[in-house]
Amino acid sequence: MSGPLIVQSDRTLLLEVDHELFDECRRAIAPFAELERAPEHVHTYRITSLALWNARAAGHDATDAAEVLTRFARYPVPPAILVDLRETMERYGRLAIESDGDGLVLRGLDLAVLEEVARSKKVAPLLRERLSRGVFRVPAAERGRLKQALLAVGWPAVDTAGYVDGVALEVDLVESPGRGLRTYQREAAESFLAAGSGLVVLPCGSGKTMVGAAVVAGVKAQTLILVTSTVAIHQWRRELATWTTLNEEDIGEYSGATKDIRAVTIATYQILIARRGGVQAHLDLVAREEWGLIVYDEVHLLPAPVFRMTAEIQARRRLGLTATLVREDGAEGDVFTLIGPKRYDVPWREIERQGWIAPATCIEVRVTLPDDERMAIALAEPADAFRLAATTPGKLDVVERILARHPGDPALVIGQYLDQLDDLAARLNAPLITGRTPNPEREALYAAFRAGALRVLVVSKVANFSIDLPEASLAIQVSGMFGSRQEEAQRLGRILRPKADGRQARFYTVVARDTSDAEFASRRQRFLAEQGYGYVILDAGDLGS
Amino acid sequence: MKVGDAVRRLGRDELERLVRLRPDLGRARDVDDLIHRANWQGSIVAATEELSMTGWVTMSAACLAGPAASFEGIRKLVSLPEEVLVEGASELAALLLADTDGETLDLHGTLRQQLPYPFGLGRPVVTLLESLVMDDLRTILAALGLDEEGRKADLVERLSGYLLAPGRIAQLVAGAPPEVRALLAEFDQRGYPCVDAEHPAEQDARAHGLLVRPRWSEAELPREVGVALRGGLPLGIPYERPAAVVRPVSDAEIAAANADAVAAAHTTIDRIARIVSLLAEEPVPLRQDEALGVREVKRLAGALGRPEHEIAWLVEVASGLGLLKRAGRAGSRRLASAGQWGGSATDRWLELARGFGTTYRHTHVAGRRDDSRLLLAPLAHAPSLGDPRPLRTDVLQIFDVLDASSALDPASIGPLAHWLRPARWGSQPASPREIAAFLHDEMESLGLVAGGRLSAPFQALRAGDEDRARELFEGAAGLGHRGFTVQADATIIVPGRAAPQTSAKLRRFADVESDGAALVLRVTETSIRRAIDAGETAEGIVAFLTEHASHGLPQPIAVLIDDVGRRHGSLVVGAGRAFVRSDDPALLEQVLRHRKLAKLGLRRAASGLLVADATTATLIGALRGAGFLPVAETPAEPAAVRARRAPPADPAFSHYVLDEVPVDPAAWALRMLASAR
Repeated sequence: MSGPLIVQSDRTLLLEVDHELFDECRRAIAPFAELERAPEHVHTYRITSLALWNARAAGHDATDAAEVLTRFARYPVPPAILVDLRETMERYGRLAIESDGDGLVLRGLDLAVLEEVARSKKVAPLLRERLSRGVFRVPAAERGRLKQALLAVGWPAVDTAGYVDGVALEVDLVESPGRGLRTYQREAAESFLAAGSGLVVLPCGSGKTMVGAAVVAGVKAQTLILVTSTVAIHQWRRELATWTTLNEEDIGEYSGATKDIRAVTIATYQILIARRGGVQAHLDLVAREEWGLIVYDEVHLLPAPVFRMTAEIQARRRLGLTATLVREDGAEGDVFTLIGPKRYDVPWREIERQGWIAPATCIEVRVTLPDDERMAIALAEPADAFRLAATTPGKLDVVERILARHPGDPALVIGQYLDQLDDLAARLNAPLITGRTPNPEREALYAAFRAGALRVLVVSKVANFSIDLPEASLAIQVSGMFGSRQEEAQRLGRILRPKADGRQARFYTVVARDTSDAEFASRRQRFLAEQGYGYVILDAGDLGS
Repeated sequence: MKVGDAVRRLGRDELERLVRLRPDLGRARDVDDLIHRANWQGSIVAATEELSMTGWVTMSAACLAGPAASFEGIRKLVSLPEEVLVEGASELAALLLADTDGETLDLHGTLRQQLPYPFGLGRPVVTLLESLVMDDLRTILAALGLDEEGRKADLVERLSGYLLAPGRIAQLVAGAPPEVRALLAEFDQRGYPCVDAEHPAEQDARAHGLLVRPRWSEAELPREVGVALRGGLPLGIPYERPAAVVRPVSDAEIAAANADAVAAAHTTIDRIARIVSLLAEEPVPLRQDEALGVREVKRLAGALGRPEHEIAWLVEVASGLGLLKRAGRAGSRRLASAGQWGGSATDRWLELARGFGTTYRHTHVAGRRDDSRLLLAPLAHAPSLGDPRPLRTDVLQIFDVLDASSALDPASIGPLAHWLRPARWGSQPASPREIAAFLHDEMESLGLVAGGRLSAPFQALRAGDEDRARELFEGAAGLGHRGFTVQADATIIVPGRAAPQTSAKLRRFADVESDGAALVLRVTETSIRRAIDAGETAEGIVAFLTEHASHGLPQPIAVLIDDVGRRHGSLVVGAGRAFVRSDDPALLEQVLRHRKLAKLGLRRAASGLLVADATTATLIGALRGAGFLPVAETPAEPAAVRARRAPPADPAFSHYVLDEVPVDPAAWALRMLASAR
């Protein structure tokens, strides 16, 4: 009894990181357990119903899962867990969504289950005429919602209706000795291609775009890539042109400035949901072309209208890419059911251990407010109190001292409030990038930073995602969007690209002590703490003058 | 078989044995009453539950072979050695379930009726064909190329004659497409009751008479087809006692397992005590059927930080111990605490341990989910499940045969129990493995079993040595894991069973996230505040964690604890029922020092403000009595309201029952013999 895994009766699995069988066990449990958190010593996985059904869909059965648990368990596996595994997995496959030539049908391989779901308030509206005792007609547009509803009532359907091929595209990955996909990128792409839809979760800076390129090359069909900004469009474009046989003319941009549809089209979420005259004129881009693959970059940010549209295009292959599958609106479940389940996930520290992202230290610096500021915050309306605390002038001095501690480190100073960022830019004599900065100017400033011509950039939340600044090794966060865990992680992600000289990344968060700013900071840090990034807490006085 | 004749043949020893095997017969007043009771269907069914696998196989084979079948005929059917059948027949006869003359075996008629599906085989093909309508019969005849004309009886006879020709069914099964054979095999293994009648494989099987759908909702595999699928032998399972998977254990492992058991018992005791305490503070409404609703289970689960299924089980156990009561009028009943759960932890564990064997509730059912994923409510009526106590006795019996240095793999309990009492374990709504798994879990949580063995205190208790059980329980309480890991995400993980002291200490300042083979807790600002409220100090918590954390205490966690300690007490809240306010500090000082007012508990809350532990009316009266002239800040004194008397509460209710008063077999046998003369 010396295995690395402890199986709890509440379906959680505790995996000891330092155990010699850690890696083997991690791979063995991955098909049927979700990684919940990966702190420094013990990782927690959870055997969710969804994970079990996905495992079943991938060809695993309860006997496989039980064997894995028993093989790696340090203590006897609670027998109830094994029973629960079997019962849950057996619920999968009693219903099937199939194509019968005239369209889609829901077939009940177990009539009692079919009767039960057909009477369910969630499922009934999605079914049409009863073709026979065991078969209902299903409108093609309801395929996603029906799968969602069947999951919700606990009877997931096998979907054998397949995917549309889309318009064929000649594309291959360009690899050469010493220059190609990393092992985890290849595994991620293969996991996706074997399933046809789902999510790949990899840390910021670990090369998710490469996984996207490999999938495009694997599917070989007309592709739509949805991203968060125009800058991200250009980055995807560069990467695709570099890593695949696609030419510049094969890749189209669909944004506010350009509406160019090509074999591979990259569009922003913003343009899709933009309204003109009360109508979302571009949203049908998703459905109107014969896409064989749709890639959702930063899928955790998927806006609601795109969610709805995605429910109707279940016949197309869908790939979601993210580093932080944390939605502050709690809609992770919708992402799983509409885009697809998690196909690949690696703890951040594991990629760091392999040397593909820079080792990082997270430091929280606490600033003590003077009494007059504390009183002003106490008297403020709750909505203003957080802003007052987050923008305390005392932080400006601290930022200067942090920069002085790390001379020569390319640094990003990141904040939420424009007034504060203006003050910082002026004090540091550094350029400021916000949502108001025109795209060409942004690109020029990023390029100067990459080239080393600029040492410090002050940026607003526009730099939270999809900005590739490989040399940045120091980030100083002065304010953020309340308790957003994914924003915290994404901001750390800006400095995780491995450095040419092996330099460590440092992520500072400056907070006002004993205020809501500090409370929100501790909530923001939870995701990273669960990924093994332990914060060191310093007093501003510890930084020296 | 004539039970009367069989009873009158029994001698004293046989009667004594009979009443031991069928204790319900002990209520018989005389021989006539005994015969009457022995013929009662309920008693016969209960007796079959006591059959061993040998008796059960013999009985089922005899049922297939027909009335007064010869041993030779039975032996051919099941291909078992004669000595097995003789032993089985003897067991059946001792239970008055069959009569035997050494060559034939005659089953009790009622028993035959109770066994429509011996060995899990369907009814004979003729019986099933008779249930079909003419159109269905003609469809089969057409598919088999037979004449479709005639009355129903003719069609049934023609079809059955064809199907029952030697080797015919085996030939049809062998010639069926693979998907049809797979479907038939699934029917044989699972008795799958509800499948799609339009499934092509099923339609094919039905068209050839290999499957019959006597009702629209059910398909049944004819007995002869089942036998053919089993290679001509009706006994579907191998007649082979499943091996008990045991492993040798060292004394150290046994000691650790005993510590685990005691720690688990402490955990369960703590949780039950918390539920009792919560329900003492605030009784919760019951449903109309007097079960505890899902919302209330969720609420308790939230309060205890435990999963709902565990709360449901704990409520069942607490009510079984008589710690809960139903209060209020019918229709608006509430579940409340029946009072303090007195006694030491050891006393409480003894109650739990004794209760395991005597509760008549299927405690493990509460908290599970039905096919619609709905939580099965605790305290709900589940009349169809029968008496769970014999199941528990069987499990204990399996552990009893382990030697002193072996441990049993829990996964082998189900098959062993099924072998031990096949009728009892095979007739449950869940499989033997599932029931055994739940019972084993329950025993682990109660500290009765750990590491594949009955815990030492429980063994002593079963042996009737309560003092020794106490000694062992208290002796093992100090053992268990004391070290743990603290991580930067504020989780604390104790691998294995935590030592009770360690567990109790951690629970004071951290919230439990998961408990089982390991204990997982999370430190939060609220949990630290709660601990400091209860008398801990931030420094003490940090020191404890630093001392025991195997990888050290992450700095952010130490800072979090220090922060809460630093801020704790910045605001002070106290109770004051009335206040005295004045702008005159001297006057207030006079009031504060007045001897007549000392009993009011007056104290200074702030400049110009005193608070008192008395009501406003009492305070004003006392001040006036002391010569002061106060005015009330409210316009009127509150009127005295006579409180409505609460309805009397129901007494505590308990699932645990005393065992039936045992009969003295010898005296009973003599009484029966005397009445027969």
